[in-house]
Amino acid sequence: MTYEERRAEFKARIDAGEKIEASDWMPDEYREAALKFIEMHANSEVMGCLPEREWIPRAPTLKRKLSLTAKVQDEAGHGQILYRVAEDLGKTREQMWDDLVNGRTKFHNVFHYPTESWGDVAVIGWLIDGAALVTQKALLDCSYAPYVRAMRRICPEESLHLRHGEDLTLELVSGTAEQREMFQDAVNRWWRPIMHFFGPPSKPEKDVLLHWGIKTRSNEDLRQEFFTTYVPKLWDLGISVPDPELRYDEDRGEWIWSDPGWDDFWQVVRGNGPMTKTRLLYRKAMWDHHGWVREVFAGIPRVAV
Amino acid sequence: MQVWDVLSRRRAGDDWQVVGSINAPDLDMAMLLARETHFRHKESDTYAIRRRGEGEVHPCPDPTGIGGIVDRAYRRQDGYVGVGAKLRRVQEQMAERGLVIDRPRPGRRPAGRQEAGRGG
Repeated sequence: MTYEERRAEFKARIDAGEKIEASDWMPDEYREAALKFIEMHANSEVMGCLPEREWIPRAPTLKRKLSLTAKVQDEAGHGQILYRVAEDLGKTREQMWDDLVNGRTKFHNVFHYPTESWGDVAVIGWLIDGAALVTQKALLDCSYAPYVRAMRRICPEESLHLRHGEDLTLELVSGTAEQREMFQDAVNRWWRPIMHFFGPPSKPEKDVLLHWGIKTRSNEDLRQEFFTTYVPKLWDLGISVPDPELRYDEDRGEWIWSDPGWDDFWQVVRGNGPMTKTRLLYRKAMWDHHGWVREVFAGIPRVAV
Repeated sequence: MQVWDVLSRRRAGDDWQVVGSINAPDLDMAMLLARETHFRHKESDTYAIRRRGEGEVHPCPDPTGIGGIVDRAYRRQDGYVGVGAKLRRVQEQMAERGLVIDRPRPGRRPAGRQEAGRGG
């Protein structure tokens, strides 16, 4: 059988809804696309620890400190799980980490921005984790079976994080005028990065991840679901979003939203976000500082002998 | 570094199912990492590991305490029971205060006050 015939047979398996295991034969472009996507997801989980980690010492109560610490631990755990999945596609964890801290690979746009108040923690926990959950639930039907298993593990935890964020939000919006204003200000600053989170509108037929079933829904489809799930809740809480055009069009059956501008997005993609270098430097410093742990860990069998 | 598959099952007697994998240098460390990485929220009452490429399954020797033995409700959904009801309660308060933003949304056309993005 030629490569092209095997490739066509592989595509037919995916189109028929079959799942691909790491040990299965797969075309190079499938392996590369899956690896790049999952590696970026893993990078985003570990980089996503940092904006919230900054608020653990400043959490207003012990209960909030415990729950935020647990959430950050969960995100690091997701990174562990996802790097393991990516490793089976042919790249070592050390290489992935080296590429991340040296800016050769990407992590999600929302983790390139500063967190300025406790209101940001609420927005991250409710709206950004909400956006993440919309995209991650869609991955439960992905064509790559090890990734599906990872998402079955991760989605319930993200759902828990969402509750944590929703609880924080409700406390702020039902609190003092200053607390409401703190949350409104955070929504205003984060709205554009959230719109960017779903990516620019694109043609689904040209999306290689959709072609191979690694992603199952288009950027716009996911953004529309986010609007439907969260915007009415925000409005019912008296919180506005900084998009004067945003409304649901019953006749078209879709949300109308205004173009947020994509300059910031492309700056972030190029590694020039407001916090990109600071956070990568921190990650690299921690990697170097904890090198002795990895050496001990790898050396246990020799020492035991 | 060895790769170990992590196995779980819903009930005693069920077949073990692969739920993920980890890297670890030996059996003891693999058992510990599997517990922390995959069962920290008490996702299962027990678990097992299997070195990749081998058939022998190693069940967790002491599954008591999976998920922690002190109150860690903040790590689980049951720590947030009532948040949905709280959302509805706060929304009612905002409606009473006239703060709800009435803009077109699925299943409902605006009836009263409209606000065009006061933020930003």
